[in-house]
Amino acid sequence: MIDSSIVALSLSGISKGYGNIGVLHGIDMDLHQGEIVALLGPSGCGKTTTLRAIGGFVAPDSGRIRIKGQDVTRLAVPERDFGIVFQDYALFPHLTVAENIRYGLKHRRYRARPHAERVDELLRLVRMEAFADRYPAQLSGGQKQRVALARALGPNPAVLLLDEPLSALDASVRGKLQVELRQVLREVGITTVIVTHDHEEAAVVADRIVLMHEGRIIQDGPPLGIYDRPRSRFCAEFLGEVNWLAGRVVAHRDDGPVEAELGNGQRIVLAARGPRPALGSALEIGIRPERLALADDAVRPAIRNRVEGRVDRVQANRTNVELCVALDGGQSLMVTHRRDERVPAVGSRVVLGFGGDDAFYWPAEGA
Amino acid sequence: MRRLLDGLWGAFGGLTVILSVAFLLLPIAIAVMMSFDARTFLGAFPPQAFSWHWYQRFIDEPLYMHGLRNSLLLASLSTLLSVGLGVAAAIGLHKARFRGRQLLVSIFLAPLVVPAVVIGFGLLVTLSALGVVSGMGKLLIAHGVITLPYVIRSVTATLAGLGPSLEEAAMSLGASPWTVIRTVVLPLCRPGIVVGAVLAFTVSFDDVSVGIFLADPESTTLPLALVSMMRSNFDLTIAAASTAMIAVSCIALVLVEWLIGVDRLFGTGTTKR
Ligand SMILES: Nc1ncnc2c1ncn2[C@@H]1O[C@H](COP(=O)(O)OP(=O)(O)OP(=O)(O)O)[C@@H](O)[C@H]1O
Ligand SMILES: [Mg+2]
Repeated sequence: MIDSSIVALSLSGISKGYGNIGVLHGIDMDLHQGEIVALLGPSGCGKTTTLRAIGGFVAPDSGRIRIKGQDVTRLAVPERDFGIVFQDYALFPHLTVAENIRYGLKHRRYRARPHAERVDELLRLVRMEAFADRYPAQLSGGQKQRVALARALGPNPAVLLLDEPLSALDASVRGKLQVELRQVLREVGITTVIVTHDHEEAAVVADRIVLMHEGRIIQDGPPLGIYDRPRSRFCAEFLGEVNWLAGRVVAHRDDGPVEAELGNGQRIVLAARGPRPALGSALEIGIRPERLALADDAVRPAIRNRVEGRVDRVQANRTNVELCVALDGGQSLMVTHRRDERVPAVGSRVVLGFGGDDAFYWPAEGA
Repeated sequence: MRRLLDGLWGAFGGLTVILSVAFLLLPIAIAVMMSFDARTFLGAFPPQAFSWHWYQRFIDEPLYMHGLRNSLLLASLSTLLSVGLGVAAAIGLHKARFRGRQLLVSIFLAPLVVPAVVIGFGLLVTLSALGVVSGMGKLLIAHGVITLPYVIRSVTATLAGLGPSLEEAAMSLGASPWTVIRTVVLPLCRPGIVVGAVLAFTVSFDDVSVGIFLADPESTTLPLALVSMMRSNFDLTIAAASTAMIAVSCIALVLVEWLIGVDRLFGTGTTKR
């Protein structure tokens, strides 16, 4: 579905400020034909501003925007080939569902098919055939969202922009609609930018996540890739829970792995990643709670590490058990595992195992 | 204790509503009832028998009939004028993002707070200086001035509830700025336009204080005729005329509602969700 020989949307060096406050600082981003990219980041990092710049609702101070190779940076909104779904859906309240969808066909001068046929096709696509003659006020949130999507897709635009399209919905509906949204976008094969601040949602809907922080892109890659291999403390913590350990490089192995000594004198081995840290330099090491195994023999990879400690706290929810384990030497680690495994008692000693590939690390700052 | 207090408050609230309604409606009800009094002189309330004879005298009085015709014409024309200008101004202000916008809004709404007598006198001087001689012409301009703020206000209030994303969605679907106004903004303003038009019509139809400066015998309106009759010949024809005025206002309301269809709009939820 993704055609990587065609760049459908390209942003280069987009910057924007309001007064003397910079909001975007040189955003570079390329989307291939048919690719679904999630713009992810905390509130106020500039996701919506980026999206609005693509649509032409915000004029960037510098940089270029191209849609299918055409420079649209100076074009007015109606002249750009895109569709958008707003957070509040923005359905026209005085028009029926069918009339809402027909609006774009008419004003974008859609000629490929008779409009009535196209409206029916779109209603089928989002499974809203039965609601063609309803007014928006007579629809539920999820139904409005689907109509807004059908309306945006109507004139068959080159690029689809979604600004937190599911955030106004209940958690229960949202999960279902995420899957549905992904299916519809795939079926249509449209190049899509979806703004969200929910990593789970980005992982379900998108092929690639672009993580933003304070007006900059700090990392991008496949959803699981950036979860497993964050390149900064911000990225690691934004995407989920992390245990942080401080260490010092004590040896390099021949085949690449790095051996580090923790604060309590214990040694662990980490898989080689990126440029090698210098001998003796300080490291910041992160491990996700679910990467720590209670039984060390459950760890398969060639490199195995074991740390020992005492169980401090046990907390169970529907699916998982969370343990807080105090390592010998003071530091605590959070451990998550499935509930059906045996649960150690508070106060008992446990051995935690993890592979050299399960941790990520970089030179500690200020060391 | 709590429940008792709530109960007392409820009773107090109910009483206040009833009193206010009575206070508003009582004078009107009395005037209407008196207009059907069969006595041929101005007797004490309540009337003893029913009759249409005051209405007969109202219809037979050329001053009233002439005034009624003028008033209807004037109210219709000035409503058209102020709706046309007011809707354009409100949409202009809605779109505008320049400094001094707030000042402009205040200027547009000024006639609401400036005493009508001041406006009447001001217009008298201004219009004579400009060489407007026709009494009807002067009144039309004056009523345009005093009714415009009502239209601007009600349309602006409706627009403020819309939020920008509807217009942006329309643009993203290929609509030019003018098309956005025609297909989205105007239809969604309709409740505001209806309210504004009804207010404009009644304000113009009721006006005495501005008209008194500007009308000549040829262009005398119904309220002005009532005032002059009250001075010269006080009888219950005035009650009949007042009742007729109330009827006209009500008919105007129903007619406009029927023409523009408010109920449909209230049903489909025009304001921001
Ligand atoms: N019109 C504006 N005038 C001034 N500042 C603005 C304007 N629009 C956005 N900003 C600022 O730009 C920054 C980025 O805003 P933006 O809406 O892009 O954030 P976001 O990433 O979409 O956040 P959220 O997740 O809360 O929607 C914010 O600090 C915001 O205050
Ligand atoms: Mg946003």
